[in-house]
Amino acid sequence: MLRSLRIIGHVFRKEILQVVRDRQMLRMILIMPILQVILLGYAVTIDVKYLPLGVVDYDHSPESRRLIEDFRHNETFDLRGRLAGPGAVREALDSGRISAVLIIPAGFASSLGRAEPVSVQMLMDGVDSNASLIAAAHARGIVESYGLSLVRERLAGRQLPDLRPRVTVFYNPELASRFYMVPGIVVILLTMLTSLVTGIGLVREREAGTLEQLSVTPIRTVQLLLGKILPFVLIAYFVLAIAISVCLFWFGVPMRGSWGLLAIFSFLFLFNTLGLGLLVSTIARSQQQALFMTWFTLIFGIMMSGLFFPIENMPPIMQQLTYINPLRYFLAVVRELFLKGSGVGAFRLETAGLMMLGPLALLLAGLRFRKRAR
Amino acid sequence: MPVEEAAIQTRTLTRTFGRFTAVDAVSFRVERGEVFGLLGANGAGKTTTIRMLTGLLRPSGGEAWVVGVPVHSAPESVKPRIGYMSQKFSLYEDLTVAENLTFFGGVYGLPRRVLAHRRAELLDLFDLTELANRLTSQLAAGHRQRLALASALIHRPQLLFLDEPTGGIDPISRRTFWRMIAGLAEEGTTVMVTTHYMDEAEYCHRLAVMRDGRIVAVGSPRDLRREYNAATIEEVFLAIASTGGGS
Ligand SMILES: Nc1ncnc2c1ncn2[C@@H]1O[C@H](COP(=O)(O)OP(=O)(O)OP(=O)(O)O)[C@@H](O)[C@H]1O
Ligand SMILES: [Mg+2]
Repeated sequence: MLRSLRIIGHVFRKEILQVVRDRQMLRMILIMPILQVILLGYAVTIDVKYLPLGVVDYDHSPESRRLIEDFRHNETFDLRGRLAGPGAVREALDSGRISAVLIIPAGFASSLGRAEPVSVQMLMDGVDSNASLIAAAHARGIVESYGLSLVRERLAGRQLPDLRPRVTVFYNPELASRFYMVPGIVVILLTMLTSLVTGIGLVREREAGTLEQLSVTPIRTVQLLLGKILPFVLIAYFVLAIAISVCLFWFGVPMRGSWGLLAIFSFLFLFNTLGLGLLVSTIARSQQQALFMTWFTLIFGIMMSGLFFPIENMPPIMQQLTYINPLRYFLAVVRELFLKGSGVGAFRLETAGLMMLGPLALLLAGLRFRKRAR
Repeated sequence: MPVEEAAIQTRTLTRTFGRFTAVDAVSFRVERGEVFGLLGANGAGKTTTIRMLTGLLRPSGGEAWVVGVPVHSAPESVKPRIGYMSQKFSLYEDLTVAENLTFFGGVYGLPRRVLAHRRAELLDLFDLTELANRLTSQLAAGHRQRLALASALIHRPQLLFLDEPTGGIDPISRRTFWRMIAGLAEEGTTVMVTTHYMDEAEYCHRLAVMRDGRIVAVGSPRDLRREYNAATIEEVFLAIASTGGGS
């Protein structure tokens, strides 16, 4: 037992020495998390603001001008100017100068006056479907509340039912997508770093021949793998601490949950990514292969984690698939911990998922990894 | 099978890769304390044989006892008792000389005191004390080879496998190296070594010549020279290569 710990200790020390000697690696571990969280934190907000808007006004009435003013005062759109007609609209959309067009038909004011149905047209550039969906909803809101205000003016003095939803948003009252995304980026960062580093580490030893040299020693597979994994658990916590500091102090993301829980769930999660890395290293023949395999798996894991697309919106089969995605669980935990401050009780599914998948990956890696060539 | 005395004893040891037979029913015996040389052209099967004997590669057929352990069935049990220096330099280039020795000693499970003592002893024996804190990547070829040998000896193995240990080393370093091998053998360590240098073959107590996966001649250098009526082992080797077989 003691002897076994000593052997693991020697592998551990060797790995740490190698990381410390590798300047590039050190730089990656120290600076990358800060840069990545800051840059991506700004890049991946999904708030839609100041979408360039063009207007075609065929009516030239006070009413049409009022509607245009309403658009001008909304943050979603940035009114870039008027367009002459269909040709100009097409050209502006095609060139990408504007992303949305409001078209007010001739006879707009008079139709309103005679209480006839009338519609205004919105043209949207749908290339960024997410943004245009959100913007379209805002446009509908602007037009509807304009209509409602006309009704109120017309019926001035009469008693009207007045029904409005009053929406109170919990946990992220400004609905800042940054609060929602930044912790997610931390998760991705941690995932990439730990799975890539372990995956490549073993393959590099195989390429250098040091794995063969290790294989003629009596070291056990478990001792070797533990000795190689544990240093990266330590390093992962270090990176996590840096990245979370950026979240808190740069972006002002609130941390409402328990640090202890975060540490425990991170530990559970790390066994998943480190297990994946090791598993890849038992399959890949070269460092490049290891890189590609890990990369491919990660892209899939990230896309299916619910960070960019809500899991509820996925087709049922895909939703089922996300149950074998550890990122899904850890992401949920991190978000809820940060924004909601949930307790352990809220994470039954996540705990079960992480505790099953991590050891499974490690077990598979251990079984596949053999000291003796066949 | 009389296994008690022999350092190595094989019986029709065979290894195939797909349909290709790299080592073909090889049987030989190496006595304790012997320096046993394995000669043969590129691809003759020397490395494959050694990899089976060290428990790195599973034999496709036959049996092999190494220091009394049946490696064909219990490859792990032999590992604490053997040392191996592979054909390709395979220590950690980003660790220092001392760190490499510490690491390999540690992996063999040596207690701290013993390890420190053994490390100092080997650094001294191989004249590496001054280079102890030098990164391995910065060592000259001769120093690397001495470090590799020191690493293979850190746990005091009974049997040492050296696969082309003197490739790319200058003649003086080679001579020093062989003097060390002779010293080890005198202390009772068995050494199995492969080489392409025929002058080195003369340092071995006994030789086996391999061709196409088979052992085609075995004997002491003197016996082989006599048998082939040759002045040097090089002539023996060329004779075997051209006639295409042993006696
Ligand atoms: N893993 C493997 N897969 C397929 N073929 C192999 C493998 N290892 C060795 N061989 C083949 O087996 C034969 C013997 O190889 P081996 O390395 O044992 O020769 P060697 O005597 O050590 O040669 P050298 O002097 O070049 O080191 C060669 O033809 C080699 O290509
Ligand atoms: Mg060879």
